[in-house]
Amino acid sequence: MVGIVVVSHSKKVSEGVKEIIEGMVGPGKVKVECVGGESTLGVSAQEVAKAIIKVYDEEGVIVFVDFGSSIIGSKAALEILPENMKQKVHITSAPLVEGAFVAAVEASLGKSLEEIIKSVKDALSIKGVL
Amino acid sequence: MSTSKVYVLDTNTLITVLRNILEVMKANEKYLTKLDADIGDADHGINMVRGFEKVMELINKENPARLDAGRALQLTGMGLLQVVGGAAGPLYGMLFLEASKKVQGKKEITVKDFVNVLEAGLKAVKMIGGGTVVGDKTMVDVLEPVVNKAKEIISKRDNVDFIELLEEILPFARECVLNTIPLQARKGRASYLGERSKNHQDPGATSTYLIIRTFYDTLKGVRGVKISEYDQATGKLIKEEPL
Repeated sequence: MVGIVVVSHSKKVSEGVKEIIEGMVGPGKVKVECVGGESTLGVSAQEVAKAIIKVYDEEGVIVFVDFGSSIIGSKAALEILPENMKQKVHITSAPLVEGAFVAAVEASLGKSLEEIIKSVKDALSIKGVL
Repeated sequence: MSTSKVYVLDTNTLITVLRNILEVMKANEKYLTKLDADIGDADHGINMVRGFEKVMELINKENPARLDAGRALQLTGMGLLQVVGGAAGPLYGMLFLEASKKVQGKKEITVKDFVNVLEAGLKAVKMIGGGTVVGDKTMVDVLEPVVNKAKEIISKRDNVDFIELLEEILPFARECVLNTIPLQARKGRASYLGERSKNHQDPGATSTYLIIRTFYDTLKGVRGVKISEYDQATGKLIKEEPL
């Protein structure tokens, strides 16, 4: 099953996203790890790398980020992963909350990383009534 | 002042440089944080100190006498990636990690190796930063011109030693730091400030200069410098004093 990592400047935000996901698809139905800063210091690349490794299997991992150093830290995390793992980890520009929600639903249905990458790009369409 | 030539940097000296960088970051912590408070999130000083404290911890754990230069630089990258959040950790971490690959297994670094190391570090920073270019008001504003100048110097002249190279590079690197003052930031948190990011010296460019400068100072028998005088409004560095 594709794993999901949520990276935010705030641990409360990333934990909140995890809470939403597990509420929707059921606890334990998806593999989610959240990484977030405790203060203004942000997250280190190693924390992100550890989270990726925790949810990793050969199906791959999709990483959701908020902005700025979350992106830079995640990109650096990719670089310190073993080469074979790195190939199957994707950092997406999709919106954090909506994207992670869509990814969770699709991962729980056994969709592939490629399919999920495509779907989350369009995650804002779940607000189609607006 | 010694006039002796330094053609190679052995691992011991490299570790002394790293230890001195920690001292320089401690001495300039408040100054770097002030620069970052003006246009960022006021954590650059503390981040650099925390990072290099971790670096020295990793190096001391591994029996420094047995390390080679590549491993010392690799541990530097790992230490920074482990404990430093924000943008500085990943950027400096990847700089040192990629740089270390150029001198893997080497006990001594030549001037040419040093320039290769800087260039590999620059490439990593630009990649992780998302295609950062000169003028974005970042550490690349110092690193890229310095790499280009160093490459030019060693390609045009034979037998350039570390002292000669660094003596030419440092005033130039210092100019590059000052050149960031009028710029509007195009990367990092400062970029959200738009016009308001102008008239401030970039903290990342400043710490990059201090790191390069510490190589020179160490070879000259000094631990490094403290910025002893600066302009309150812009953070412009005016005077450095030996530690």
